Amino acid sequence: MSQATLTANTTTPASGESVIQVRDLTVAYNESPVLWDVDLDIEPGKATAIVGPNGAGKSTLLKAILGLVPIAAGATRVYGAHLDTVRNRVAYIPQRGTVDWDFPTNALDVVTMGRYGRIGWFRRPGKADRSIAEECLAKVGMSDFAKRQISQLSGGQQQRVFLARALAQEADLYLMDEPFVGVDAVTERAIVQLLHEVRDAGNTVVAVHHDLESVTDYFDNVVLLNVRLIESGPVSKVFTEENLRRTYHGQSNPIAADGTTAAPRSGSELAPVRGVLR
Amino acid sequence: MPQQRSPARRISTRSRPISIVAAIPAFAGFGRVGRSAVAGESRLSVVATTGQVGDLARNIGGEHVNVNALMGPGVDPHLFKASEQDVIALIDSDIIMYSGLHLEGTLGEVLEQASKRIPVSEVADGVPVDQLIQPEDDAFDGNPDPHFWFDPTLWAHAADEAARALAEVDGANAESYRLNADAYKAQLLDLDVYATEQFERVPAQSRVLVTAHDAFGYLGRQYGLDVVGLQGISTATEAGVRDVQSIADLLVASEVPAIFVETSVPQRTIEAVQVAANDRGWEVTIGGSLYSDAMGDADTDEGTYLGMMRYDIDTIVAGLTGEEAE
Repeated sequence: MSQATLTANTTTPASGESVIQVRDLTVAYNESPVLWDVDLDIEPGKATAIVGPNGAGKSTLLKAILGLVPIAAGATRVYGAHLDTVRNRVAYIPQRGTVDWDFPTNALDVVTMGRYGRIGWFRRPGKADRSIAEECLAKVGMSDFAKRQISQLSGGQQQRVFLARALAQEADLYLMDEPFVGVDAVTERAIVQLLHEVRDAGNTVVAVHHDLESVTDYFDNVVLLNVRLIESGPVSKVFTEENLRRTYHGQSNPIAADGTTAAPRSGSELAPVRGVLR
Repeated sequence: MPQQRSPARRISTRSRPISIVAAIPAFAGFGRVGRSAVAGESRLSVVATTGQVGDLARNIGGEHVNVNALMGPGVDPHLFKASEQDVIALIDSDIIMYSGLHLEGTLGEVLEQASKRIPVSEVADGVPVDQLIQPEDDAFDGNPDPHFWFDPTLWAHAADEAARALAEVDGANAESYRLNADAYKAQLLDLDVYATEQFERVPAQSRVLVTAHDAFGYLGRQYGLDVVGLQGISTATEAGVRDVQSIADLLVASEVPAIFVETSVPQRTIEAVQVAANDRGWEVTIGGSLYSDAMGDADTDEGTYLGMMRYDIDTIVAGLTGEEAE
C-alpha cells in the first residue's frame, strides 16, 4: 500500500512521538467501508482502549495496523516505520475464538513460541529462552499447567497462556483483540494487573475492548470508533456521555457485558456509564 | 484424548493385487548400498514422497538430514508411478516418509515392500483417527480423505510423527527433532490463526469454495467453507447440465463472486457455470488456481508448505471478498 500519505503527514505535531500512526485510513469489505478516513496517533507508555459498537471496525483497525487486511486508502506506521521492519517489537494477542484449542501443544511450548520472534525461526530456543518462557508462565499464574495440553485448559487459562506468550516475546507494543472475552473474573484481574505492569515498564498497550464500565479503571486513553474516528485521547477528557452517544448513535445500548447482543435500552441509561465505575 | 492409531501400523495394507511389485522384479535383490556410511557424512538420508512431506522432513530434520522428495511440483501423487531410479532412491535411504491414507495410491505396494528393509513412516499416523474426514460416499474408495495437510492443526500431528520417526532411526538427535517440531508447530499455529482471521473477512453466506479438485475438504471444515466440487461434471450429459445449473443457483443464492479452477477441468464446464450464473444476473469471476496435491516450484515461497497454504488462503479470500489478489 502507498506510504505517500503518511510521509506527507510527518509534520503532524504528535507524529514524532506516537507509537502507531494511522493516516487517512480506509478499509472496505465488499465495497462497503469498515473504516473510513481514520487519523489516529497512539501515545507511547499508555494503555489505550479501542471502543465502539459491533461493526465499528475495532478489530479491523488492529488488523490494518498489523498488515492483516488490505487497505483501500491511507497508511499505517508503527514506530515510524513499516511494520515489517519492527515486527519483533510488536506482540499480537488474537481473539481467543480464533485459536483452535485442539492444536496439539502444551502451555509451555506455546509460551516458548514467543521467543522465535527474537531468536528467528531457524534457531532453537536455548536454556535462557526456556527459562524466560517459564518465568512468563509464572507471571500469569500458570506454572502448574506447563505441560498440560492447551485443549485441557479453561478459557481463562488459555488466554493467560497467550498473554504469557506475548510477554515472552519481550515486545514494546502489545496489541490485544478483546482480551477479556470468555474469561473468568480471576483471569480478568490477572490480565489487567499484567497489562498495567507492562505499561508501567514503559511499554504500550492497545486493546479492543467492549465493556464500557471498566474503561476508566483499566485504560489511560480511549479511542472511540464507529467506522469513522469519533474521538481519541485521555479517558478523563474523551470518555464522556456525549462522546459515547455520538459513538453509539442509533444503538442505544453501549453496555453489553458479553459484547455480543445489545438489548435495547433507552438513551437515558447512558448516564450511569460514568457513575458505576468501581 | 482421541485414540491414536498404533505407530506399529506403518503401512496400510491395500486389498489390491500386488501387480506393481511384480513389475519391479529386481526390487528384492537390492541391498542398501547407498546408506550414508561414508566417513564424515553423518546426515540421515530421507526419501519423502510428496513435496509437503519433503518440506516437513526438512523442517523437522534440519541439519541432520538430506531429504529427497520424489514428487516434484505439479505431480499428482494419486497417479505417481515410481521409476526404477525412484525405487533405488527409496531402498538406499535411511528412512522413507510418506503422507499416507492411500494418497500415494500406486506407490503403496512399493512402500510396503520397502518397509521390510527400511524404516518407513506414514506421517498421517500421527493424526487422531476421529479427526479424519470419513466421506459418506465412496469419494476415496471408502478410505478417509487423505488431504489432511489442508488443516494446519492436523499437519501439526504429522510434525510430531515425523519427529518421532526420525528419533527412532537417529536417537542421538532425538532432542533436536523434538525442538524442531515445536518450532515448526509454532508456525503452524500462527498459520491457523491467520487463516481463521482471513476467512472471517468473507461474508458468512459467501463462504463457498467451488473448485475442481477434491483436496479441500479439510480446509473447508476447519474454516467454515462449504466445498462444492466441479470434478466429474461433464456438460455432455443431462446430469452434468443439471449439476451446472444447481451450482449456478448456489452461487447466485449465496452471492459467491468467484470460483476456483484447476487446469485439469475442461474449460467449457467452467464457462458453463459462469454463463448459467450470468443468466441469473450474477457475475462470477475465476478466482485463480489453487495448489492442491502438489506445491509450487522449489525456489519459491509456494514451494514450502507454509507458503503454499498462505497462497491458497489469500487467493480464496481475495476471490470471495471481491478484492483484487495482490
